[in-house]
Amino acid sequence: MLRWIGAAALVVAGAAAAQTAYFGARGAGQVGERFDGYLGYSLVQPSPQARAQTEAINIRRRSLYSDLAQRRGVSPQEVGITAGCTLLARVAVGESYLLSDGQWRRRAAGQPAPVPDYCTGG
Amino acid sequence: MPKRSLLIAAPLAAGLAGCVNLKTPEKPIEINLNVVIRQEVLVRMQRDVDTLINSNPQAFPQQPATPAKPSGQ
Repeated sequence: MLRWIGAAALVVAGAAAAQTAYFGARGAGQVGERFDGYLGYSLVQPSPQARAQTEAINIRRRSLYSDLAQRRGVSPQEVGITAGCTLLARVAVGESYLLSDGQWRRRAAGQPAPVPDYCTGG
Repeated sequence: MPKRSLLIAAPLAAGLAGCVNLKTPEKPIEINLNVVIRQEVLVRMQRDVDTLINSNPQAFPQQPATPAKPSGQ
């Protein structure tokens, strides 16, 4: 129990530092949000460190989506796509993103956040 | 023309102007890459999902609002 709490505290304390490479790669457009609620890699491959941090985030997301899906009686994929709507709305200028057409794009200055039509319900 | 299915909803919405209770279609939305989502699920799950995102910053990290300025200029 104590060990568990200690580990949790360590994780929280190290959170910002542990995701530095991820933030760097995301800002550089190498890592970006996908429409399915997960992170992906655009054409330029990020560093192994950034990749590892990105994978760790995706593993957490998968677990959260599955858990919520089970509680609500929907598919994890549906939860992921729903999350994708919120996450795409957070894409900042200069960041890359993947929509359901399979094309990676980069949000340019002056462009709105890339929220797909299906997110807003029409 | 992925917008087509959503365009169908527009006249519907216009007809219901002033009525907040907009019914969402039961038909699944087929988006590419073999991904299908029911509009009803999308709407119903949005609040849960937003709570999930906001309460799990480890899985949905956000950079501080004001990142440190690069040194120099």
